Amino acid sequence: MVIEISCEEVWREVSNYLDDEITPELRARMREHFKGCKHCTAVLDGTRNVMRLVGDAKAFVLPAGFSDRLYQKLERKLSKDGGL
Amino acid sequence: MEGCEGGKIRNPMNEVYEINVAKARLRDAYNAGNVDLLLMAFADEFTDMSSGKPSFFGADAKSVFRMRMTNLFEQNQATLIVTIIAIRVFAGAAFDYGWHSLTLTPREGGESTTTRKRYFETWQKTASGEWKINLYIDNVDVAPMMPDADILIQ
Amino acid sequence: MGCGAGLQGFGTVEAARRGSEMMSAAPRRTVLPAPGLRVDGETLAGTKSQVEPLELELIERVLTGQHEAFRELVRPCEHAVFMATQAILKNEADAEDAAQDAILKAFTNLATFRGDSKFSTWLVRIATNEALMKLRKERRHKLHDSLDDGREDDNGNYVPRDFADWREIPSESLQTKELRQTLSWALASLTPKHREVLVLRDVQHFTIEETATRLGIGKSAVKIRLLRARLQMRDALAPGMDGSWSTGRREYKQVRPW
Repeated sequence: MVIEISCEEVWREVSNYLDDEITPELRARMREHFKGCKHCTAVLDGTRNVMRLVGDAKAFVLPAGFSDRLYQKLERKLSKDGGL
Repeated sequence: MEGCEGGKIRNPMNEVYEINVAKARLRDAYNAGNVDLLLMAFADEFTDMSSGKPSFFGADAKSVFRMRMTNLFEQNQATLIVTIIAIRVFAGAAFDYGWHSLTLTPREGGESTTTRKRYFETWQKTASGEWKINLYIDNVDVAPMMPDADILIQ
Repeated sequence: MGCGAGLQGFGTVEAARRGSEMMSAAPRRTVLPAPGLRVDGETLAGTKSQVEPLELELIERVLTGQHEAFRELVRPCEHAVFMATQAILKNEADAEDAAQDAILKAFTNLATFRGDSKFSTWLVRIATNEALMKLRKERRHKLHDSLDDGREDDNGNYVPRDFADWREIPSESLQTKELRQTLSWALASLTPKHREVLVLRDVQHFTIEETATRLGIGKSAVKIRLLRARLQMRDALAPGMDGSWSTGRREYKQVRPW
């Protein structure tokens, strides 16, 4: 028998579900809940997609010119202090 | 301290779990068309305010409910999908609310009908520690819809 | 070679593997590539790794006065350093300042690096500390920062604001400046402690354990913060979830379930 689970509990565990940090029983209960609850499914899918987007290297880029500004600063420091 | 069975203090999460179990049994009883099993989810005297039907309470309620459900299962194959939104537990009492989506397929043939109802029910804990429903009320669900834009702007 | 086998900032799994092959002289752990992209080239083995022999060579060159070698050493770590400071300081300019200061500090103190961790680990730690110091200085002058507009239910759990059905946002959409800016803004709207875990776990792909170690907190604290961070990000990105990111439509229909 797959034991029921409330939407509230699902929201509490959705992050762990996506990290596979839950027991098999809890996973089965949540999976069954998602079948009948499109709102929780929307939360699950949305969260999964957020993780996918932020995890994409294209999402957060170094500001343009970061490297150049960095090494300019380093050069200035070297010419000032004369090295290590 | 947690869940110490001898004393009165029990982990509230265990109680929530027990109600989830009771709800699962109720669901499975519907799906099996098992009236006896279904009735076990309810207190001996409960209040039945199911939509579209006269209300019953007290000792009558269970016998009327038994009659209704026997009838229903004789005429239909039932599939119940439960979606609990939240469960709240207090000392010896609890409530939960959510949706019941019931699909009935007439045994004599014909189209299946699915009705989604939003429900509210209260539970009581019996002397033997079991959770039973002592009040049930529902009404037909209405699809989510935002109010018109002009109302929102106000 | 350095952290990412001499690549410009973004290491791909492919290139990291190629780079690893090039370092075949050194004893290697066999590790699985990260499911996403590991931009700083670190292995999944995490914080216990030793310094790479080629990093050591570069460090020695810097210490003998060949300062150009420092650029080669640091370049593959730039992105990780910036991510680390941006996780703590929302403002891009502040994050860049902290990143620069951290790298300069690393340069000055290079002789103190003991080689008991990967160079990038050491560098990112300096960057994190630099950002935290800057944040503490800011806090002394400013009022409480950070909007934490997540709703909580009676039990202190985050309640999602919106239940819109996500339309898959293709990763090509990340080329649009608008989406990238919204991601940055959404990330900045998190409180520092939530932003940190999200950056470590979901941006830089450390495991929950590695994230816990780096932040000096327990695994369950990481999980609780991740939950709120992820759900808040989702709510922040909600406008557009009905597909308007891909279609470019501006109107958005917010959905309530009941």
